Amino acid sequence: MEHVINPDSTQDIEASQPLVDKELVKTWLYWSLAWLTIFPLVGLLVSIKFHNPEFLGTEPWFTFGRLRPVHVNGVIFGAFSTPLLGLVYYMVPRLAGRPMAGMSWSRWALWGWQIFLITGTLSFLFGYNLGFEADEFEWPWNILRWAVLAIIGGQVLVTLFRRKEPGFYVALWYLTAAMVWTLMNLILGNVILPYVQMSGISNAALHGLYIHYVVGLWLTPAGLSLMYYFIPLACKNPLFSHALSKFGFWTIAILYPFVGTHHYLFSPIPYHNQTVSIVTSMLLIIPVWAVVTNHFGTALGRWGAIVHGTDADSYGAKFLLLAVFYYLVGCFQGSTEALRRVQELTHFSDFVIAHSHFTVFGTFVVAAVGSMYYVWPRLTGRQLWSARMASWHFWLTVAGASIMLLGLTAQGFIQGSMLEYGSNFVDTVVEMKPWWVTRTLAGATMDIGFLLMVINFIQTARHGQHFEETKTGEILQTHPAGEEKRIISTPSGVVLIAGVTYFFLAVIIQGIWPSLMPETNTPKVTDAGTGLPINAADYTPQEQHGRQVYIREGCWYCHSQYIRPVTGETKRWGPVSQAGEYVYDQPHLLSTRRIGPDLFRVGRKYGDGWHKAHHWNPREIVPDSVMPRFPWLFKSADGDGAPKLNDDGKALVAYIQKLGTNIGDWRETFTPTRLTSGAALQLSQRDKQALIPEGKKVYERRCIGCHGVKGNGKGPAARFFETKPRDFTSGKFKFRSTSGGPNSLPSDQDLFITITHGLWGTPMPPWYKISAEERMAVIQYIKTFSDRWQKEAVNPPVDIPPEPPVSTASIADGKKNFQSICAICHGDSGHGDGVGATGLTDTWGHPITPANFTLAAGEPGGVKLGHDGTHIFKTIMTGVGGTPMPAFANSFTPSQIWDIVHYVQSLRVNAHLKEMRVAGLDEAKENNARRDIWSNLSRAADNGHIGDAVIAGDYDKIPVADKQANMQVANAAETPDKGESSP
Amino acid sequence: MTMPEGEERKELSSKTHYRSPEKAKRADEVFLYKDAELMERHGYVPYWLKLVTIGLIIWGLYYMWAYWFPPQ
Repeated sequence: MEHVINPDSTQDIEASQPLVDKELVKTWLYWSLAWLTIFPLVGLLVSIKFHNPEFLGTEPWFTFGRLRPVHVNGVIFGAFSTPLLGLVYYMVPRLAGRPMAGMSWSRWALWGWQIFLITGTLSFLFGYNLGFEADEFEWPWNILRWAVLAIIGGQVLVTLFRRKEPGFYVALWYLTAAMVWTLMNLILGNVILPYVQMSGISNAALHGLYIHYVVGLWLTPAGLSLMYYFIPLACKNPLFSHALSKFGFWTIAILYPFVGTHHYLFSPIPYHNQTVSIVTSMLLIIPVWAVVTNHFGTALGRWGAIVHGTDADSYGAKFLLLAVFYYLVGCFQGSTEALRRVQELTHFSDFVIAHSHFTVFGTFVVAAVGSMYYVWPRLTGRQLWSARMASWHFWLTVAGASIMLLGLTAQGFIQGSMLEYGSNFVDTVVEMKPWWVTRTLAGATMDIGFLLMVINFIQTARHGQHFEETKTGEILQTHPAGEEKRIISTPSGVVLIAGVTYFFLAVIIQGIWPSLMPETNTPKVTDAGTGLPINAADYTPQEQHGRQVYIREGCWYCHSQYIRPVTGETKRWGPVSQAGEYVYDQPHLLSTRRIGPDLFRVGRKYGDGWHKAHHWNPREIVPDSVMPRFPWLFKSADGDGAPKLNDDGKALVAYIQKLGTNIGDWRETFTPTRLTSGAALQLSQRDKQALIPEGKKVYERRCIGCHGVKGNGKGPAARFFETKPRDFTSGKFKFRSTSGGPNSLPSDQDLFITITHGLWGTPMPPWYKISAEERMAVIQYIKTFSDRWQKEAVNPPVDIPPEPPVSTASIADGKKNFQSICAICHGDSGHGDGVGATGLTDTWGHPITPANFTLAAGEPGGVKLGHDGTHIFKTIMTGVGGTPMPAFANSFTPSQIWDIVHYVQSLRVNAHLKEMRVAGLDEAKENNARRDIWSNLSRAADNGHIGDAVIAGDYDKIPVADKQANMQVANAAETPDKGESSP
Repeated sequence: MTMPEGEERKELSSKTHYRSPEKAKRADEVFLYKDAELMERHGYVPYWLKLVTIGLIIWGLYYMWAYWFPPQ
């Protein structure tokens, strides 16, 4: 019976439609050509900034921190996802045997996606950034992206469940799973991560999953769906093994959801969660090798035809098989990178960037390109316009990608090794610069390839010869693909088991379980100085504002915020990060990259002035820096002065100064002044002279920005500082151990201590991470700026008798002398507010304030070289050069000076204890805390020579007359090692 | 459906993988997805990959046992 077509029947409408809406797919692919050109090109601009940081560096919207998310999101959602989504409209109908369902929605999806990409990109340039890596879009763009993917995902699912083709091909498994996974993952990333209140470590645990779901549950399955569809077609061979396809798919589905935590190994995320992520990462080798075997197996017997072929199919096959090769290498790199020892060395470095480029670009973008080569003649009805141009595109891609990926991998090992062996961080950055130039050239090579592709595709559409599908080769006996009954081979199984069940299982185990651990959710931390529990403090409104600026400017793309207990990071930056320190951090800013140093403990390392100068122009203060300038954080300069920070800038500096300070006054003992420079100080005069050229190099790389070319303290950064850099031409130095008054020349040892320790609260940073030889060399060079070193001898050091026991009597006597003399400038309570404190200036006429002894390490106005007893003793004996602080060597006896030292230390101990009480110190543990704080400052106390009354905190109440009795109590303790107190 | 079949393809054919002729025959079956004009062998999972899988699973279990708790 003849069938009469009913125009109102859905079945008949579908039957009368072509399977594929070629115009729709073609429009998607035209947009793909644009994004394949633009977003990698943005990567090229970003790459140039690594070796030429001033490039496009004066406008906020072209700064690194804003272009970087454009590149990353652009490549993921533009260069890869746009062709993928377009090709969905080609693959799915042909595999389902019916037109795509809901085609009236397709145009909305097409234009919605392009609007998302265009306006989303602009939003990044304007500084909108959610603060999560690979999840930076603000809510309007997240809603738009989700809506488009929901439309297309819905179309895919409806089409599959109504398909006419009984077989359910592996490409559809991957595509279906990718859609389901990603629609759920975007809710995790766009809604839960930013808006459901949680601690920083919970945030990081979930974000680790999210970030890898973008890669593992979107790029990977969607990209593999392209490979599984187009490789057999382009190679003109059957897929090698359906059995292998199933094996590969289900092992990926089981393993991939668990791996994301490997982004934050050695962080405070629970150790067992990290272990689970390492094991599943390594087990990913199984599906990767299954997939690769399947695809290379498919090409077997066809290599000759593919390599020598000059039609679009051959170029499609070449790109697709190249993608398979990069998949093999990139994923092996990724799996092994998750191993703890490998990650110790390579994490945060370009090794990670090599892996991401191997996989995102080398594998999935290249796979999308190969698929486009195959499809384009079938959409346009025209043969490829230029085989030569396609060949150039292919080989430029091979050359560019290979050079870039091998180079980045090598860079990771080099930088990691340098850091592991203790190099200064900036020195490792300098080592990277030639490699980064190579990366730029390699990237440009690939971008030229894309331009050739665009030209070729446009010319194909306009001028290509007529294309007709040809069928060649032997005849194979085939059976129609049948419907499998086992649940794992059905769309329902893929959606429910792989898509939903495994996803939620992984989120519960790797994301929610860590959040249930008590240490993750409370602000309890261990005070670094005493080992006692205290509470971390929340950010002030200004610090919170600064945090937003930090996120907006993308500081977190280059600076991590967690210190690992490996590769000497605790010696480089400070104590290991604790979970409680992140409790107020949402979004968490652990980060995955260190183009600059970790900033988790940077608070109070540098003075505010240093940060001002550094943000105005990093290279004025650190000539080797690759950090961008941030002039938009400043107001215009007043008169001839330095530019002033605006509200954003002040808030950012306040935030930076807060970082890492929640575990108490750890910096007090981190870089002690109890230093020797070892063999370097034993050099002969001739050897010291020989060090001067080396010292000049060190000076020009590390000192010149503040102290100036002439050593007169007038470097370009000096205008930003309230405490001006030392004028070396005067030959006057603040801190010395040498006798002869406050302007005596310092010894090399004195200068070594100052350079190593830095001067707290001022722009002079510590230089403990450059070699002792470099420090010694720059000392010799500094001495060339003043002829005092030729004309005068360096006096011998003052005698420092052994420190007596810390007793209440000693403190009380010290207090008496302090209040009679020192308090004139330093104030009765040692706050630096004595009657003589106002209007003080140094030798050069710069305003100066007496030290406030109660302040913590690095706070402006506090002591500059710490509260260590020996240092304070020396300073009282020798004065502070170039300032109104005289030498008291002839005014007090050594015993009296030690008493004053103990009193001064007691001021800081009391203040420190008060800070700990505010931070929630258990009252019952106050004596323990006091004893430990004293031990950190006083060698006598550290050796147990401290009275019980001092530990009990009674020293303010005990009269001076009790000194003798208290001394007897203290003397009952072990006699101090006199040798230790000698300079 | 016309498709070329090269020498390498024959060498890797399922006959070298399976001793059982029935299994080999099943593995050599080719399915056709008509509208996509796409063919797929039933194929097999190579022994070496099964060995890799077993080895990695054993290693994974050991690693979980050894590194579940942080070193003290």
